[in-house]
Amino acid sequence: MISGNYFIKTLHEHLLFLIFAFILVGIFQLLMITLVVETDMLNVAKIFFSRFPPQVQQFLGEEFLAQFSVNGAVAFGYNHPIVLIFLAVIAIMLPARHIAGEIEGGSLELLLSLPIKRFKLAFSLWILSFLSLLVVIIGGWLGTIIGLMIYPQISGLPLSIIFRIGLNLWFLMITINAYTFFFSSISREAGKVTQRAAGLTLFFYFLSYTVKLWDKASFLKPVTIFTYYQPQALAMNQNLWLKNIVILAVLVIVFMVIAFRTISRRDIPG
Amino acid sequence: MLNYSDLFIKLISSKIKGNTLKPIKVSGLTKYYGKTLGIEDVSFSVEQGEIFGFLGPNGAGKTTTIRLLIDLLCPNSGTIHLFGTELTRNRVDLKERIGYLPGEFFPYGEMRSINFLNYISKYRSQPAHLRQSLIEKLVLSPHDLTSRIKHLSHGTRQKLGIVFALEHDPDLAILDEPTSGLDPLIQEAVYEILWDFQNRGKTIFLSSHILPEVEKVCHRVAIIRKGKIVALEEIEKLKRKRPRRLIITFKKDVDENPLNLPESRLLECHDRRCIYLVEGQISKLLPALTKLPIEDIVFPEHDLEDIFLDYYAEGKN
Repeated sequence: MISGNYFIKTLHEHLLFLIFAFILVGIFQLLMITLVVETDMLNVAKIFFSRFPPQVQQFLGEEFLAQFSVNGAVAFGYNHPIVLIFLAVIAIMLPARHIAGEIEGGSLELLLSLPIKRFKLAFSLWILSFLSLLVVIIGGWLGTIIGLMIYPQISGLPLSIIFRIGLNLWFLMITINAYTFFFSSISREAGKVTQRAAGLTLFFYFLSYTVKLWDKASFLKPVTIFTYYQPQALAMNQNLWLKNIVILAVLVIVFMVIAFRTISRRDIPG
Repeated sequence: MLNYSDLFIKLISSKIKGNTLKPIKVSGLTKYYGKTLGIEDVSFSVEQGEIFGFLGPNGAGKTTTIRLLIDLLCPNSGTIHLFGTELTRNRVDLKERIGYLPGEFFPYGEMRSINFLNYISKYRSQPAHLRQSLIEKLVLSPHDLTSRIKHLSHGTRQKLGIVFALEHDPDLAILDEPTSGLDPLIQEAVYEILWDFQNRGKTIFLSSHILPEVEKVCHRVAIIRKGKIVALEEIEKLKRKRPRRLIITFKKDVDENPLNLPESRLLECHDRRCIYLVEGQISKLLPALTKLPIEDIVFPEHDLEDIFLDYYAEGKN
């Protein structure tokens, strides 16, 4: 099903970045725990919160304060733009560079003149993306777990919650990866694929904030994939994480089936 | 369940149909890019042990045909049989027997040449047992082999492409402009390599712009124009079919009504020099010539370039 040659060569090309992302995301999660414990942020936030006008307090809601609890901080760490950007870069870069990018560069033409099925190449790349994202998220898990070990005074944060948040994040990222695969399967330029995939992800991201802040737009909530990843709610045990994962998994399957079919049948331009 | 006699009958019948053993058999191949014509109703076959030339200017459909043969493009209609098997039925096994050099050879720029060859050879089941001899014949230095591909000159990259295409000793080599960017000495080495392949019963499908090269190397050619095959013939037969030019210099100025010669057509006349196109039998022309005051006569043999240009001139007309 997978081509070991292609998998290893592609992994080799991105190994340094993956190691960097693994370490960075891990350290980031460790820092989040350190920050909460060392600065007693919850009490600081409560003081600030009490000084806000009542309208602002109502607008921010109790969820705002929850972010400064240990659970909230951990959830915030997995929803921080730095973490999301690093993971999204991996999710977008691999299919953009290695399908559309290799068509653009001419190397896919050479590979496809060899005795190997197109599906096998594409599937190998997908497995690599899938595992790379998981490895970086494991880096985050490790950072959180190390933090919990360093600060044993933290209680009330079960490992299952950290696991669920990471798993949900992984599915969010493989969804981004899946639609990038789809864009790549119909394109011949890596730059265009990156633009489309990054543009769509940003659109979803801002839409998710818009529907939170503007009631009239709330009917658009199911449209954005970020609706199906709510780490703060997960940390407070208020979220149907399994339902979210199932929805994201369906999206992944749909996009990947279309992408694999397109790649297997499309013309490879010169 | 099929028994051996059924299999034998199938084999014989497919031989009769002409598919077996033919390294390439293309029938009614048509490819459109949206509404733009790539090729239309292209049919030809290439015999085993043949060096087959495929000629045409840019945009005529050469590369489209080659990319269809390699399964990089999907045809709108028509079939491609390689070694008697339809390409779409057994792509992977058929590609084991093919070596392909694209018109523009752009492998991974960051890789070193030797690493690229090693990487590619892992996809093939046959060992790259011709690699060393090809490297020597094409004069690829150890420095070339250890350099990153993006740092190689166009010619050296082309040599690497030839090694890539031929190192596994394929039964069918499909080469798009193989000598592009190579110096004359290396071009000669490439011809030697191709003849060696041919002598060992291998088949070569060669696309080229360099007409003297095709004339030197190929046995048969197909000429493609605006997506359609306009000539498909042995080069010698093609030459014989086309009218030849006859250039006569007369001893005195030709008057206003220059001579009409049998079996030929006057193309132009200037001072004492007239150019005719000999369209019939030369034996009928010679007696007429002996009676004329001729100072000099030139009757050059056709080269492929003339034939090629004739076909294209016809197309324009």
